Amino acid sequence: MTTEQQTLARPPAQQAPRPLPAVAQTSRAGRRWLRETARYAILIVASAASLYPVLWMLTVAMKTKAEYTQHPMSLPQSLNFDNFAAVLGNDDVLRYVLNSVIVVGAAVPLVTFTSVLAGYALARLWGRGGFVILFVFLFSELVPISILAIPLLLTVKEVGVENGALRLICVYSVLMMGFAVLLTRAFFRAIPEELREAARLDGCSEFGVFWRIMVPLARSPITLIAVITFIVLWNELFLAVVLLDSAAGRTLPLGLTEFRGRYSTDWPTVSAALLLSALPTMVLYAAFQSRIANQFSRSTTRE
Amino acid sequence: MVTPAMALFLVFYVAAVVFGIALSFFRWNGLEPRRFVGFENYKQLFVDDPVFFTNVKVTLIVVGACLICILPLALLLAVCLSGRGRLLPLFRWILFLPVVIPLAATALLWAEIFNPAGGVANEFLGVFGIGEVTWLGDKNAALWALILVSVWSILGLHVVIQLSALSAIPTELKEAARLETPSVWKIFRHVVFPLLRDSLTVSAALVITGSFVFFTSLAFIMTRGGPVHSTEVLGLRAYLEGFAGLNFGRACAITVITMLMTIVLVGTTLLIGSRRRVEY
Repeated sequence: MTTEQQTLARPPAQQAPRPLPAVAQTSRAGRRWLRETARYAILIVASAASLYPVLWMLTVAMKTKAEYTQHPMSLPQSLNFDNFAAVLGNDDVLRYVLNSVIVVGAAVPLVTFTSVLAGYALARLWGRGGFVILFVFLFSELVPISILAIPLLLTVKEVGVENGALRLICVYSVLMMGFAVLLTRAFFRAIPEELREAARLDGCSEFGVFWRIMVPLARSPITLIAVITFIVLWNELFLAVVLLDSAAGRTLPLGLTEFRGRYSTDWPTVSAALLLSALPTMVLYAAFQSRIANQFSRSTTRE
Repeated sequence: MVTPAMALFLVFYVAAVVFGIALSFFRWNGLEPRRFVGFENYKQLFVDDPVFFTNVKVTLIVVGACLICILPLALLLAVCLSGRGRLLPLFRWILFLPVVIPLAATALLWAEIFNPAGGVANEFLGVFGIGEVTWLGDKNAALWALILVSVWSILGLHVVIQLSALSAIPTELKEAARLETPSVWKIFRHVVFPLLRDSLTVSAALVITGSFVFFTSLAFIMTRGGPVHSTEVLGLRAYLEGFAGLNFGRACAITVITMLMTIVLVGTTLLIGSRRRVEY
């Protein structure tokens, strides 16, 4: 570590590599070119594999039924958004969306808030007493609640939570909480203790340290938690299958399977529905990524 | 401060674990009074039930195959994505795209791709002159088709996990290493890779638990465990035992066994991952 620090302490001018003989320079440039080519070749192949099924779905969604049966793989003859309009005009689909919005909209803030509190407490204020609690959260990462679907249903019935949306909100919060608590705990542990002590000396209360210093510092993991929680919960299927008794409370993923059953011969319309269901998470990820990318480039422009 | 999180956890998680274990010793169809039967449920599964053996085998194949496919691929792609480059964010977005598509949509999409009557998968094989496959209807192909779909749908998540670990490594460290050796591979092997141990462990653990969970949903929609139980993982078996067989005691016994399996598998992974930790 000390040698590294010395290296870093040297003025930047000396860090630049010494001029190399011409031959060495070209071979280095050649290797670099090879590396960049390999990198982009790999990325292009992987991206094609990721993207193709989705693009295919998009082309199908613009076809009529007859067109799809005749040319399943060709590009659509025209930009035709009738299928999307049909999906958006479908009352069932709107009900599924509303159900999903209620459940996910309640669960995301619940998870984020409770887990930041718990993660901070477990990182700082608890010491050894928090070990048992930490163990429970770790255990829930070992055994995700989705595995427990059947006993969970029986428990929820025994406890007497009859409302489907309420069942899902609680269960979904627990589903994501282990991950969120462990992530925030790891983050807060990496923050030097001196920061807290300095703030305390300056007269900041314990809660003030948390609210004014730690939470703003933790903006990036908090965003990460909220985004990932949203994506996972918006897409969650199996727990909804098991826990929802009534057809009225069906969330979007569950609704999609039902929609597929009802329109089993009309794949273009189903394609449109599937694409629309993925739209919120796609948009969210696009927005979230640019923010993370900014942060990343800001930290690397120092070099 | 831990209280709100803990309260939810006690009611909806801890209680489910305890209740599940307790019910696995009962016979119960959901309506009549429960009848205590001791280890009868477990005995039936292990002794008189060849299908259960298949369930366990299929589950282990899924976990193994997902690990072998996802970890190296995610690491490779993360390394390709790291650094600066105008197109890299675009590639990152594309690679993550399958993750944000609802699993239900993924399952339905791929079910249509694997449709033996004019599905895209067969058209694709036709280009290479390979004959038609019934995919989800074939008891040898169905499992691998579903594994392909699960890898497709969660790989991007692990790419991002590895990528964020890569970008968390201070540039100073890599620059210092670069002064020592020009070999990019050596820098990766001796400086970067040890620092990825934690994120790789996390990825591995997530792949294991994830394949228990994701695969259950995929199989639920795409095959319902068929053909001939060839895609019936433990999670799906528990569901079928409960909802189709109305045998909640045995469903809980299967859940308990699943639980023990994940504990052993993830526990082993974490133990391996926590040894020889490196810090700078």
